[in-house]
Amino acid sequence: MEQWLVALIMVVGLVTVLATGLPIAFSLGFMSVVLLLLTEGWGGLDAIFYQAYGISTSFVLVAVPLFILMGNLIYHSGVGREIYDLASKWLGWMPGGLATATVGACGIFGAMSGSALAGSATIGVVAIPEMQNKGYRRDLSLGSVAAAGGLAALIPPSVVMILYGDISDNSIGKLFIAGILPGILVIIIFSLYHLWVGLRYPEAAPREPGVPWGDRFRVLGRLWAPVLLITFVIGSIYTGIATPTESAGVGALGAFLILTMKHRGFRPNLVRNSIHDAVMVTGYMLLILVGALTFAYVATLAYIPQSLTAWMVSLPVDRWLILAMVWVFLILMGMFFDGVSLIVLTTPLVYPVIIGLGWDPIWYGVILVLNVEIGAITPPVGLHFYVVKGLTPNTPMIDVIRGCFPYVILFHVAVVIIAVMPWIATWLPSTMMK
Amino acid sequence: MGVISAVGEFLARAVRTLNRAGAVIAGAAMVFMALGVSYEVVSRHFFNAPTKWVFEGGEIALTVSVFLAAGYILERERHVRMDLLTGRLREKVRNTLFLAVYPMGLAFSLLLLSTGYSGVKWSIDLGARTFIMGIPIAIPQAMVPIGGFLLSITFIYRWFQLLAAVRGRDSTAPSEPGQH
Repeated sequence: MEQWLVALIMVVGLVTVLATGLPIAFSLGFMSVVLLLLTEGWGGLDAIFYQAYGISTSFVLVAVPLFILMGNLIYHSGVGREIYDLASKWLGWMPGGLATATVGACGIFGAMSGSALAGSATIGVVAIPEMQNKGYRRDLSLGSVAAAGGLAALIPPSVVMILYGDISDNSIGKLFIAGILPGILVIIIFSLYHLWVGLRYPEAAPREPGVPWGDRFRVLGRLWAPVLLITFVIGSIYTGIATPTESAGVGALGAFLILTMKHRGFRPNLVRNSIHDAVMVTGYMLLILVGALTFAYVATLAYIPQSLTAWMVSLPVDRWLILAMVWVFLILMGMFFDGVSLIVLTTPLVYPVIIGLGWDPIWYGVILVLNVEIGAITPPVGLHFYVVKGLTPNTPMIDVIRGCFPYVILFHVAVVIIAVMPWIATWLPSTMMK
Repeated sequence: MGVISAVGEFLARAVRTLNRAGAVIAGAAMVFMALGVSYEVVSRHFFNAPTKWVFEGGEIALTVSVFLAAGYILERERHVRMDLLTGRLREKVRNTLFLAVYPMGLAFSLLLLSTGYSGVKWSIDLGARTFIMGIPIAIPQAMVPIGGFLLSITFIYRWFQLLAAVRGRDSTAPSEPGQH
């Protein structure tokens, strides 16, 4: 069958099946079956089993359920409230301080859990009422929570980074470490925006009185265990003491200890709920990966990524223009797909182009994850909208979307800065011990 | 009619029980991964005694946790879907659409089952074993066809639930797309 026809059937068929509402994993799986039948005949269908079983030959992927379990245990530990308390006591006095505290708290929570949705939900449940009670404009309070939750995807440990690293065969440890400075950059950009809003429109973000230093340090003292967990998980990867999978295992155990400590004893219900939710999330995530890898395998059989790469590399245009095209493509995909699907669907197609043009794969991983975060707060489908809407049921969805709009622009500013100054993403990994 | 509905109820309960059992084993596999990997870190760093089994055991546990929970997740409609269009449809129209497209998911699941069965049988015939622990490779491979089986029966179960909902016999049938 002609290559262009296979590509056409792939795109049109997949879009059609996805639009019917069939779960993404099965849409990918079904279209792979159709394409295998068309290109390879019945004999080609054996590939489905080998692609499905293929995920079990990747020890790196073991980190996915473990980090998800760690995030769920932390979520159920109730430590989110304390983190927000800490951030608001330290940062609340600044203009726009409570919104900045929300961003800081989401950053810390992301470093402990790796879960963007859990970050928005956990911090948002405390931060939104707090900000609204203190007279913060509604769109600012909603937008800051929805956007800052996404920091978890960038700041290690990040599950989407693991998926990207596994598909593109890049070091997960380097990708994790590469996300630290860009994560801090996003926090700074958001904070500057809040500072500007606080100064320019004081009525939108009323200033809080300062908190005595004694109170600030008291709350700091209560968070030694989570701080230890973050230090261990990130530190052990950076120093090469542990692989990401190992740090995920120990992180999950540490999170269990924190949960037990915070609730002053073993809580079987909370542990069971954490495991249950982790099984659910891991299951759907990795089944999408199975579907996407099978789909990518069919595309590779038809030489589609190879031809696309050869064509794009040969275009008589600057590689920055192609990068801009990739960026637009990611933005469009992010409008319709969740982070996991975005990464597993686009990486097999785009990654060879990026490498062919001589871009750094670790740097591209950071750009990709930033686009995942943008997609999570971009209509028509932004997962974080639903989380924030769930926290404030009486708020119209349009307010949540409006609140996220400035943060979409700020995320794009971060993408531009990292694109122009790639060392922000690549310097720290280059200093790693292993 | 009474016999048919009793048989139907029995089969539905069997599907739910099998899925729940699969999810419990998947959860246990996850706990095993966490404990095993932590044990490996302690054993290697503090006692200079790296284990042989954690690497392979972790990979096997991952396969178990993904495929054995697949049916349970589908039963609860927690697999991610794009509901940009279907989310705007009336419930009855949406359920009718799902009735039409779920056989596609069933087809993929049946292929996981059948190709998985062939693959496992081939490994048994070859006597293939894993590199480190030396256990028959057919054991972890069997998770794929088992997962395919659980998904297949759950697709059929959900299809009949949707049919009942469309006919207005069971308004409690879960038809809400889980996430986007």
